[in-house]
Amino acid sequence: MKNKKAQMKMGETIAVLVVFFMLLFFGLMFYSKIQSNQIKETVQEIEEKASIDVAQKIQFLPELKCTSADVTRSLCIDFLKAKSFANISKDNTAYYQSVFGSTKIEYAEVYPLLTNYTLLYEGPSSNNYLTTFIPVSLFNPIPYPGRYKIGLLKIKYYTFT
Amino acid sequence: MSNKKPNHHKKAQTEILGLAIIVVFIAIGMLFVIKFSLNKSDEGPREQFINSELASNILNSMIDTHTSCRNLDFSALLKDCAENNPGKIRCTKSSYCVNPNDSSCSINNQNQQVYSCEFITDEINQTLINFMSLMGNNRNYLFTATLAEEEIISLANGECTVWESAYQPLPTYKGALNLRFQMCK
Repeated sequence: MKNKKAQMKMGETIAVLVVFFMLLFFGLMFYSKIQSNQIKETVQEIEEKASIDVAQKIQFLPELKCTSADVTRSLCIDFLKAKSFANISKDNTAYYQSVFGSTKIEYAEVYPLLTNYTLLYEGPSSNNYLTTFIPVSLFNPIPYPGRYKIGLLKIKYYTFT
Repeated sequence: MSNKKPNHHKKAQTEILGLAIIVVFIAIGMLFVIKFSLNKSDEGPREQFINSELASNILNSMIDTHTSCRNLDFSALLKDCAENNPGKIRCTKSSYCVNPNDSSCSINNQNQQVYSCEFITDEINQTLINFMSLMGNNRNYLFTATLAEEEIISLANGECTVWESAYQPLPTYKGALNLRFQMCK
């Protein structure tokens, strides 16, 4: 009788331990899933911030920005500089890759004429990307004193995760 | 008389205490779940950047842009429209036909003289349509030019509940001409 009672008690203790470890296991699984989702979100946030950095670098790039009497106009692209920048970026791929990374930069005229996108720079690409649009002024210095048009910069930031 | 409680009462109390501890652990777990699910923000930093900059950049890019109407820019024509509604400056409407292959460019529109208000309204409308088509999404927007609470120009595309707004005042002798451009978030 005493032995049976002791066996029941042992069984009870083992059952409690089994349930405890099961709860612990599910808890750890749940926690690790939440952590991995958080890590993915952090990586995505870092990539989004990097795409904003690239967009801001392009806006103030000396090879593209508009200047008049040493005064820089923000959110403005010199039309003549843009036309030659495509060739310059191809001839200096390594340098511009260190500046822009895996990005594709294009611009199009919005007003007075609507045109297709013209390529400025293209780096290594992937299937996943973040697209940023930046409306800009396009300044054509010829003929003097120049004319402003409306343009749109399209920046595709490629991600590899 | 003994005041000791019977053993089975103590045993029951211990069992209840064990159950209570398990319930406390489950409640703490649920609190963590709720905390993680509520912590997600609506907008990431990229969306915040884009939404805050896009509307104002579109408006700023239009202001100093030259038109084919006597090489005047948008702001000069808007000022003339506000001060002398429907405008003193006359513009040739063939310039409205930015794409000669456009079916809306009929022969009747060619070389037609219009006042600055009509001309600049068409130019702004075409510009905004072009922007939306290049960005590949048909976002709803609302453009208004208001002088002393009188709406001089109003261009709308669809309805929206949450807008991203940009403002640009232009000085005129009748007061500030308030340009407002709103895009749907």
